[in-house]
Amino acid sequence: MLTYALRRFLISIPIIILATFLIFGAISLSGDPLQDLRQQPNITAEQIDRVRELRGLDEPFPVQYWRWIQQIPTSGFGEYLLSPRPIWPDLQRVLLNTLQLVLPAEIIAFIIAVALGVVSAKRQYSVFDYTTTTLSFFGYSMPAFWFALLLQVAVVQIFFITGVRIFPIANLSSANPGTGLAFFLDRVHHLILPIASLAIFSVASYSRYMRASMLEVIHSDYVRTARAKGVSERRITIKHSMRNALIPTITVAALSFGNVVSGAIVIETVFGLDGMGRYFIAQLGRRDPYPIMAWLFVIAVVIVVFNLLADLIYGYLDPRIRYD
Amino acid sequence: MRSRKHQHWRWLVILAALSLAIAACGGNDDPADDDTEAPETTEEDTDADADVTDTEEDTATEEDPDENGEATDGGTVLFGDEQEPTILNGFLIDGNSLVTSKVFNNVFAGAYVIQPDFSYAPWLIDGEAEFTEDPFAVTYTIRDDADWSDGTPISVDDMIFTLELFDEDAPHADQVTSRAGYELITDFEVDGDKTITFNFEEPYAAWQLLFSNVLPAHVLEGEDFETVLNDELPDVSSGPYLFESWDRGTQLRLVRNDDYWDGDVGLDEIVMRYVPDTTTLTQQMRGGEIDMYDPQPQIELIGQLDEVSDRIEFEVGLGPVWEHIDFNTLVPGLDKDYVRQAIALGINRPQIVETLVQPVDPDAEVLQQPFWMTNSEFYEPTYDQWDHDPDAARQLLEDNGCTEGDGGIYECDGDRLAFRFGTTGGNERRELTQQLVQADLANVGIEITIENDEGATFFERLNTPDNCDGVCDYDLALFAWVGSPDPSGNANIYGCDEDDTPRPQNWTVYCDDELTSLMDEANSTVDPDDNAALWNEAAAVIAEGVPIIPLFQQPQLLAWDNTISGPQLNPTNQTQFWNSAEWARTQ
Repeated sequence: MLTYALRRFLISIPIIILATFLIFGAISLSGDPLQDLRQQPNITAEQIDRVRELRGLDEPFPVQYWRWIQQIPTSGFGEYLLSPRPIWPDLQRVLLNTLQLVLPAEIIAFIIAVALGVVSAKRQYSVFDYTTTTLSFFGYSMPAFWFALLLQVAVVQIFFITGVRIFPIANLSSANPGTGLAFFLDRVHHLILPIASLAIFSVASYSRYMRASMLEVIHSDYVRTARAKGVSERRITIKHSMRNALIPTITVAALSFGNVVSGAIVIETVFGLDGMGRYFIAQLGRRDPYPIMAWLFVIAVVIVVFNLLADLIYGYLDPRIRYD
Repeated sequence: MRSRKHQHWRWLVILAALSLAIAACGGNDDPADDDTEAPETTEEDTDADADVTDTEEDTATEEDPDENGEATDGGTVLFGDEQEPTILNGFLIDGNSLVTSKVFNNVFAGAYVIQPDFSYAPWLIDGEAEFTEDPFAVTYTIRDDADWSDGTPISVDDMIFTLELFDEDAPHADQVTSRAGYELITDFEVDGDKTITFNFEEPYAAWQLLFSNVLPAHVLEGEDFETVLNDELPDVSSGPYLFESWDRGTQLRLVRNDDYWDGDVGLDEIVMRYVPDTTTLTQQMRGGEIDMYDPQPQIELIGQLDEVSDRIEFEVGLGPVWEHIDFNTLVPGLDKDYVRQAIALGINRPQIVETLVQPVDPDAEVLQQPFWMTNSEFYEPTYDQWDHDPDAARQLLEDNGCTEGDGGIYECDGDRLAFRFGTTGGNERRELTQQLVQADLANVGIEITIENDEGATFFERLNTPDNCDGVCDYDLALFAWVGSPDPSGNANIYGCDEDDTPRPQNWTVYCDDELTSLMDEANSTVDPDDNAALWNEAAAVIAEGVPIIPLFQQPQLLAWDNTISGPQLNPTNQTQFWNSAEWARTQ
C-alpha cells in the first residue's frame, strides 16, 4: 500500500502543476489586475505603470508563471500585488479556521448519517424510514445560505422574546473571548450554528448512501447465513453489516471533504467567518492573482490528498482490495 | 477482538479530538484578550434584567428607550463593518480606502476635520491656518496643548516628517496613493516648535486636504514606511483612540487615549467587527451583537431597523457617492451637443429619485451639477435647465433636422439614435435606473439597449486605452464617482490637455477649452468664495455641453444602539468616526 500511496502522490504532482498552469492562464486572461486603480482619481497612470513593472505584470505569461512557481517554496506563495505582505500567513490562518468549521461538521454529519442510514435500512418502509428519507431530500435540496439565514433569524427572534441570546450569529469569537478553555468554549459557541448549517447537507447526502449500502449488505447471502447460524441480530448489524456498508460511505465522505473545504464559501460569508471561502471571495474582489493562485493551489492539494486518502481507506476497510 | 470492534469509531474519536485541538490552537494571539481591564459596560449599564448568555453581553442593550440619561464614563462600542482594511497605512495605495480611514483618523489627528456639511473645522491647528496668495504659502500653528499620547508634544517636526513621506525620492514613493499638493511645496520655514509655513510653487486650492493625518516622527523615523504600518499602528496616538490589536478577518480594537489633548473621550474602546454580509450585520444589529454599523441603505433594511426602533436609532443622509450617466462623445450621434441635451430633457430624473432613493431617504433630491454635492454651501443647480420635458426634447431634435425613422426612432445626420447603455451588472438600483431611462427615452424617439457587464469588465470597457483604439467600447454608461469637499479632482475627469487630449480619467472624451480653463483656474484659486464661484461657472459650462448627466447622491445610513450618545452621520470621507471622541454610553 505504501508503494501505491507513493505512486499516487508522485502522479498528483504533475496534475497539480498542470492545474496551476491552466488556472494562472485563466486568471491572466481575465483582465487587468490593476484595473481598480484606474478608477481612483488620485492615482496617476505613471504610478500604475510603476506597480505593473515592479510586480512583473508587463512580462509574458510564462515568465510570470515561472516566477510564481519559484515563490512557492522560497517565500510561501510570495506577496500581495499592492503591498509587500506575505500571502502564506493569511492563507494559513484561514485554512485553520475553515478546518475548525469543516472537520467537526463532517464528523458530526457522518456519525448522524450512519445512524440514520442503518436504522432506516433496518426498518425499511417504516414511518421512521419515510420520515428520514423525506427530511434527507429536504436537507439535500435546501440552499445552505437559506438554512443559515433561518437559523440566524430564529436566534434573533428568541432574543426578542426571551432576552436570551442562545448563540452568536456571526464571527469566530467574541470581542473579548478570553484565553485557554474560555477561548475554546467561546469558539465552540460561535461555531455551533455554522456547523449545523454545513452539516445538514452532508447528513442528508451520507445517510442516503449509508441506507442504500446497508440495504444491499443486509440482503446479502453471508448475512442470511450468519442469521441462520444463530448470530445475534445486534452482532449481525454492527459487525457483519455496518462495517461493510460503511466502506462506500466513508469513501464518499473522504472524497467530499476536499470539496467541502473549498465549498464553505456561503456559510463563511453568511456567518462572517474568516475562512478559506471568504478569503477567496475577498481576493477575487481585489483582482489580486497571487493570493487566488495560492488559494487554488492549497485547495488542489487538499482535494488530491483526500482523494488519495479515500483510496487508502477503501483498501484498509476492505481487505479484498489490494494495491500493487 | 474488542479493539477491532471499535476500530473505526476510534478513528472518528481521534478525528474529533484533532478538530477540537485545531480549534484550541487556532488561536487567539491577541494580547488584548488577556486584558483583565476590559471594560464592563455591560448589561448592568444597559439593562439589569436582561438574561444574556453570550459572552458579548456587554453589547446587549434592552434599555428603556425613554430612558435617555447622561453619558457615562467608559464602555465599549462594537462597530460592525462589511469591509476590512488590507493594510493600516492610509497613505499607501493598498490602504487607500474608507475602511482604513476609519482606523487611521481615530489614531492620527490632522490639520482639519471635514464636517458633515463638507466644510472644514480646525483640529490639530490653533484656529484657521493662515495663507498668502502670491506667493502661495500656508502657515500652520499647532495647538499648544496637542501632545502625542506618550507625552511628546506634537510639533513641526511631525509635519515635516509627514511631508517627507510624500517625497518623490522616498523608497516607498511608488506606493504612495497621491502626492497631490505635497509635490507643490518647495520649502518651509519653521518658527518655534509649533509654527511652520509651507511655501508652494503655485497656488493649490485644496490645501485644506493636506496633512489630514500627521504621523509621529519620533516613532516612525527610520522605519520602513512600506511595511511598518501594514499590520499594526504604533502605540502612540494624537487622536482620541490608540490602536490596540488587529485579528485579521475578525476584529480590530481601539482603546481610549487617556491623554487625548482635545477633550474627554467618552468610551473605553471601540471594537470593529468584520462581517462581509449586510444581512448578517443587520441581524446582529437587531439582536444586539453589534452596537453600530453603516451599511448601504436599502428599503428592506430600513424596515428591519424600524421594527426595533425602541432600541436602535438611525440616520439616513445623502453621501458623497453620486450616480451619473456618462456619454462617449466620440460615438456617432452622441458627438452632437443637441442629442445629449435631448437625452437630458428626456430623462425624468425626479422620477428616478422618487422611485429609487426617496423610499430610503425622503429628503433626497436630484443632483443638479457634478462638482458640488447638494450638502455643500456652494451648491448651485446648474443642470435644472434640463428638467424633464419630452416635448422639448423632440422639438430640439427636430429643430436640428432630425427625422423620425423606423420604429419612431430619430435619425440625425444619418445617425440613428440607438445606443447601448451599460452599467455594473447585478447592481439592482442601477439596473432599475437603466429601465426607467430606457422607457423615458423611448418616449422621445431614442432607442436604448441595455448591455451590462460584471464590474471590472464594465470599467475596462470604459477606460482601458488598449481596448479603445481611440473610442472606448461604450455609448452611455451609468456609474458613480465619489465627491469631495474639494472638487479639484474633476479637472482630471472632465478636462483636456493640449491638442484636445483627454486627461487620464476623461472617459467621455469630451473637450471644452472654456471648461478646462475654468477648472484649472479654480484649482489655483485659494480663496474659498472665488474658488466656489469658478467651479460653479464650470458647472454652468458643463451643463451646456452635457457630457454627463448627474442623477443623485447615494444615501448613507448610520445606525446605532440608543444607549450610545453622539453618533452623527458624516457623508464625507472623514467617515462616521469623525466625532468618535464624543461617543458615550448613556444610562
